[in-house]
Amino acid sequence: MNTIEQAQQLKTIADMLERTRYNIRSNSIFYLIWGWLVLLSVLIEYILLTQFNSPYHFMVWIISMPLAGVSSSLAGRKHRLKQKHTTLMDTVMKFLWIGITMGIFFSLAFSNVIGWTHSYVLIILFYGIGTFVSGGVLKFKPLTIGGILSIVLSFVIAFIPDLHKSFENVLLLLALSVTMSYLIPGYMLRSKVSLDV
Amino acid sequence: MFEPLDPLLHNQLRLQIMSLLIGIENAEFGFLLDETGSTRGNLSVQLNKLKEAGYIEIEKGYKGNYPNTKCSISAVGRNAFSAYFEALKSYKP
Repeated sequence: MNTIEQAQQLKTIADMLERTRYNIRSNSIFYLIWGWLVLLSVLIEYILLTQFNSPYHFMVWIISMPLAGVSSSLAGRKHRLKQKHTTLMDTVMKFLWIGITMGIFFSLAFSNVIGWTHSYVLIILFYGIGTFVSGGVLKFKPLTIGGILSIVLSFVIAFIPDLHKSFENVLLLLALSVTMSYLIPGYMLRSKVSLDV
Repeated sequence: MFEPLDPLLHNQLRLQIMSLLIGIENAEFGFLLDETGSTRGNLSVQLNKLKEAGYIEIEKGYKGNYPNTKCSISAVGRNAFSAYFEALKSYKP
């Protein structure tokens, strides 16, 4: 085997590896779906609570969360039909967010036991962890920063009594958190021309 | 001292296939076809050779309503690729 042939074989390996990079832009749709639906739900709940003093303020979640679930499943199905290969990162992201979603549903399901405020603290903590881990493994700083801010926010709400005594404040902070960790990174991901891992 | 090179991997198309599969969980036949620039017939033949050697696994199923073939690298294939890559480096001038 000569040097040229050896270099050719190494180049083939490098070229092929380059073609299997994970395209993180494909994730942006999921951040935008969940980001907008959570933000709208929070704002609607806030209005129901403060303007109408409705005891059924939480009902908005019963509509919006299944809607987010169905929308992201449809987006995922469309993505899978287009995608012709699966990377390890796809699998990592899939299981991470399935786990986070289970945690969020658990927090909502037990809200009558732990109270709405603590339930929302857990939700902010869960998706903060999700975006922090995603940002770390995908090497995308806006997600990492958004995740850290949400985790910090969940601690702030949990440990500052003046904040967590007012559920309206918690709702506004949840809106802030979802904007920082879903919407801003989601739009930044979308605007990237080429951002692969 | 030059290490012996695995003859099964010392073929341009088979090396392309293995290099594509080494970094991912699985790939569809269409993906391998697009990325290698091979013909369907030649790709099928080379995939079968790799499968017979136990280097890859081929799973036939459906995607939507259409037949779909997925390929993934096996543990044997991963070791063989790693050994080939190390042997290749021993040929460095």
